[in-house]
Amino acid sequence: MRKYTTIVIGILVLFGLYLTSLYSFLLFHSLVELFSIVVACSIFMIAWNSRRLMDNNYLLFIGIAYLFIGGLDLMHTLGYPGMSVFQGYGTTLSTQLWIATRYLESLSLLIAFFFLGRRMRPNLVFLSYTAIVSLVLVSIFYWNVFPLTFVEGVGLTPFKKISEYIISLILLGSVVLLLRNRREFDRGVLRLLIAAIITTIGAELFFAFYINAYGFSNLVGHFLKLISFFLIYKAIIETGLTKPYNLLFRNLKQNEEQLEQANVRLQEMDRLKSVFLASTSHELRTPLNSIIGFTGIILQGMSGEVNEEQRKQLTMVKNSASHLLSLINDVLDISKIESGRVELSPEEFSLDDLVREVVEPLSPTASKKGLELMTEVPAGITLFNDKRRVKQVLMNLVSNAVKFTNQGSVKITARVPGEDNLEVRVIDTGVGIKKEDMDKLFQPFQQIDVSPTKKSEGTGLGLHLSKKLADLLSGDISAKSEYGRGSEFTFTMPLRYEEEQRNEASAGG
Amino acid sequence: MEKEGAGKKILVVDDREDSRRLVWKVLGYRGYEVIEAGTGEDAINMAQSELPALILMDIRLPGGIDGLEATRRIKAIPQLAHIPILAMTASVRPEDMHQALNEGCSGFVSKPIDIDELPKQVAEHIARASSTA
Repeated sequence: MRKYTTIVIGILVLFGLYLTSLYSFLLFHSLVELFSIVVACSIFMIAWNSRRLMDNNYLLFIGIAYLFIGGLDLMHTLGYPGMSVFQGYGTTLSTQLWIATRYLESLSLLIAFFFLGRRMRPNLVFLSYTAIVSLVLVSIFYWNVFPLTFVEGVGLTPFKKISEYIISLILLGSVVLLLRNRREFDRGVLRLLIAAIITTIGAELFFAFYINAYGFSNLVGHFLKLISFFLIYKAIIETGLTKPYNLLFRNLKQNEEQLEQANVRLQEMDRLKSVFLASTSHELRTPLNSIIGFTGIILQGMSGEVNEEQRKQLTMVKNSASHLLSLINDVLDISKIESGRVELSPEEFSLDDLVREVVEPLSPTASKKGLELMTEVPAGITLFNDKRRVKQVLMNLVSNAVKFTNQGSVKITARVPGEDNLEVRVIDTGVGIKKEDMDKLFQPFQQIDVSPTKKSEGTGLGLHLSKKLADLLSGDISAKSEYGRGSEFTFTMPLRYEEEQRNEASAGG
Repeated sequence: MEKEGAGKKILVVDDREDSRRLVWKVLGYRGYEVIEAGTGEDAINMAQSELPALILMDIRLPGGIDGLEATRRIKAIPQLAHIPILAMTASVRPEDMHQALNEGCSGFVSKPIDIDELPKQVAEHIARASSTA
């Protein structure tokens, strides 16, 4: 519907212009030329002002060229027979200016392809055009060396006629180049540009055989010029302003599309990675089922008597297998957290209970080592978070403390420093951490040598995983230590887990 | 002393012999009579002919009928619908657990099997099933 309205309005405008030509051809000519001058200047303004953002130097080049084309067209309009602005030059002046402008336009449309995807210095182009146009004007107005195009009483000179054919050929060449480089243009823009150039060729042909400056073929030629500039307006100005990403920043749009595709591929790879990890974990667990299960069965004496040496060796098998199982679990957990696949299930729970659940399984080991395992947790602290994950972090911190403390105590304290934050400290009097090792503390597989004789039996992933879990819970873990005296790990987290907090946290990180 | 599992039949379904033997050993030690099936199809047939007190069902089974499908079919047979089925798998994905529970499993045993926990879980589910029956 809108398309038809546009066409109807277009026809009405053209008809109106035709009526003005009946009244005064000079009026008609001035209106048509003014329209093309305005379009030409607008193309320049858009291209020039977006030159630093634009990724298409073809358009920038055309933009600069059209300023000068518009300028020459203005001179042509002012020099038209009957305008009496420039005295004493006759009909030939405006046709000379015309032919010069058309050469400039067609050659610019051709040369512009040279800058497609190439660097260009706008100022240099601007200066070159100023020089060329000045030369043309001087050669017409002052030196009188520009070939004559019209002779009174004879009509158009062969130079003018042949020039129109040459210009048509150059324009045809630019259409061919446009088609060859169509990948560089938006389809809509390409179609409009080709239509504009072909209409211009039509105009040139009419101008090749007109007899006088007010004749019929001149009228048709100017109508075609009007249409061609309207098409250029549609291609560059309208598209440039309403859909800049189709014209000025086309590469940007293509880059965005490529990024999107890359992103889709990455997501797919991420999914495949998760599937792969899940099946790897499954496949590793299956044989471990046998190893852990049967060593347990034999150790419990279900398959007959076991002597002391066999018991020792089997216990080693069982511990190694359990160690392997924790490694698999940790690796799986870390990879899940890293790919953002962990869904927290927050629930209300009391800190008291949680600490008890953490301490209880560790107290036999602690008392065996003669350690005091103390808790200073104020009663009545309720948390809303993923209990299993919070427990996992605390368990790791406390079991580390027990593991690395040979005498003295391990103390767990809790407080609510602000209104919504919980701070849990795990303080031990253990071996401590050297200053130079502090950086490596939360990195994977960086087990720190605590003594030359005893190597720790952890997976080397515990603190790394705990740190990641703490992040996930919108919290943090920090550590300070004095080598040989003990360590203190501080775990902070919000009392109430909220979805937004986590989003902010992950956006920040 | 009477063993806790005496007179109770447990059907263990797993395509791996070592897994079946492990369950056989752990539960057999406690007096259960453990019968074994290696495929989903055998599991359904044996459930019908032997009427076990509980079924331990591996989820990943070769052939057309996996553990979930076997569970679905057993639950669809009125005489067998009351038998508690524990899903047994090495997968730790929460969605797998949910799926198993949705298909009618009463509980979940993860591999590697905890040989101290398994008898407790089995006893508990048998007790629960007989109290509701």
